Amino acid sequence: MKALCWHGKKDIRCDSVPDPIIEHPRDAIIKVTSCAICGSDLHLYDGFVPGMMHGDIMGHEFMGEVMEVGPENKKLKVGDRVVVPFTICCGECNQCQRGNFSVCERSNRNKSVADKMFGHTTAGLFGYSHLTGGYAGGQAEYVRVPYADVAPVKITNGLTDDQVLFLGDIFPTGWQAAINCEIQPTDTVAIWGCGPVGQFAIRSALLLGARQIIAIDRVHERLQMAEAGGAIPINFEEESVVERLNDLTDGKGPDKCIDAVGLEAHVTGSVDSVYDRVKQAMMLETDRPHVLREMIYVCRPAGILSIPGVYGGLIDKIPFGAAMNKGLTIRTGQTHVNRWIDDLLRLIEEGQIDPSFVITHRASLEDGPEMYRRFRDKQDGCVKVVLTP
Amino acid sequence: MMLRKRSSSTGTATMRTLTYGLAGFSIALGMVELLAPRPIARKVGLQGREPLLRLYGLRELATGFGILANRDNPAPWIWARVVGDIIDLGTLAEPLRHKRKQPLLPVALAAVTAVGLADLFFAGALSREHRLRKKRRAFRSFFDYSDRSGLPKPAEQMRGVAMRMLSETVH
Repeated sequence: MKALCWHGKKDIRCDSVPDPIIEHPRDAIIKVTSCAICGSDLHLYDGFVPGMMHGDIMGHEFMGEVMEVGPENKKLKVGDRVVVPFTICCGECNQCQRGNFSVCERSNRNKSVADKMFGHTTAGLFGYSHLTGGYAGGQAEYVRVPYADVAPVKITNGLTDDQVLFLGDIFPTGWQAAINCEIQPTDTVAIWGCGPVGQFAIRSALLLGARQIIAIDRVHERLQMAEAGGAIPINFEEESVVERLNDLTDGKGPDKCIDAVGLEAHVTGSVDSVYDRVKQAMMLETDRPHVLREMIYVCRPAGILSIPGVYGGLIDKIPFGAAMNKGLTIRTGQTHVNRWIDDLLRLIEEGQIDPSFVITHRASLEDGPEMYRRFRDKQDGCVKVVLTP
Repeated sequence: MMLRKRSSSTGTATMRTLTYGLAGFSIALGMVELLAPRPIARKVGLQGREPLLRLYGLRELATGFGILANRDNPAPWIWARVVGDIIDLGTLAEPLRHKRKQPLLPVALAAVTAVGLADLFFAGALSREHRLRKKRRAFRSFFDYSDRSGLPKPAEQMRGVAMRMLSETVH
């Protein structure tokens, strides 16, 4: 079969690889009908996530048709149409029982490595390095889904791939970011980053009733899309984020802040972002936490910082004194997709949101490497790429 | 470092403020060179070259006002300053070649070199920024995502819809 494989920094290729097979009685093999390039795939593309190996199959946003099921899998049958959450979960461990699916204690095959790196293991993820289990990803014609009797969600109502594909990652990720903010009807929510997750965080904050939503980015068309979703745009290249946020909140600062940027914050001319870039180049820091610093500084005291943006390792010069003294609550983590997916599917079914608004580019798997480059460079108005194997 | 109010997102604005600082410096230096060239010439070993210094003064005034008058794209005027800095260094090299010992000559050389490097940095950075803005403006007319809300009604009417729907389910 064909699959997009990682071969090093900025080197993704469409290779011919062996078809996946059932390895465990609970597995299923899915024929991928749609998959997408996620913003967090770019962290692998740019070489910021450790534990990738030559030939690893990329992709964790995908859906498709069940082609084969293991003998112990009683949930799925051949021909079922399913969306597959990016987090692999067993459904039986203590964390899964609590609904903390993204920290499943059993699905990471390389638990010992994750234990050493993070103190305790987190869930296995599709196509996201050997640190999270080394599972083959979904930017391929076929994919093996472990524990396939737990996470995959059947789509039975005639909704299109474009409408439901993002239930596997970016929609619940934006939703969880907003839920973590405990939004009140009087709240101002500021969201850094208007990429796909930021766009869904904006719409989630709106649907959850935030009074005012402010979106921060520098790419005009992304800000335009954010504005269409009900946000007030701030272009950080044209105005001061801190001053504008204070202006919009009568000097109080936003009640809730969402970091939908993560470890590759754009290097502006500000002292701290240049500092991060230099330290990163010298391998003295892995991530660029400019957005975190800004959120801590500008957030209203007793506010909440919600961080769906991916961070990989070590960050430096975080003003934790400000965070502590202002009494800020910090919430973060990979998304517990299955905790939210039923509610979100219902929102789509009832026509309250159509997630396909975010798709700007479509391509074949063969064109995947070029689309990675275009998405990374934000060229050609690219916000979200959907690939059809 | 990170607690400065303008620490973030204001790199471009800071650069622009510093550029206007350079313009002010250019105008001030130009006035001095134009109105009092003799003391300067004496201190850096350029006696007899006062008319040339007056000409340099006019050049400084032109670039200073040029920067202020072209706020949208001051880069060409900063590049003009870079060329002026090179000419200044060439002029200051003359007394050095003739080994005329002047107390302020090394200071003047160091100052012109430092200002030249600053001019070079700002010229490069502002040119890059201008190119980027031009590119973005071109894209602005090309991509229009203003109808991509993903919502069935105007955003204002969708506020709190999910919250109401979920609370109805709970009750």
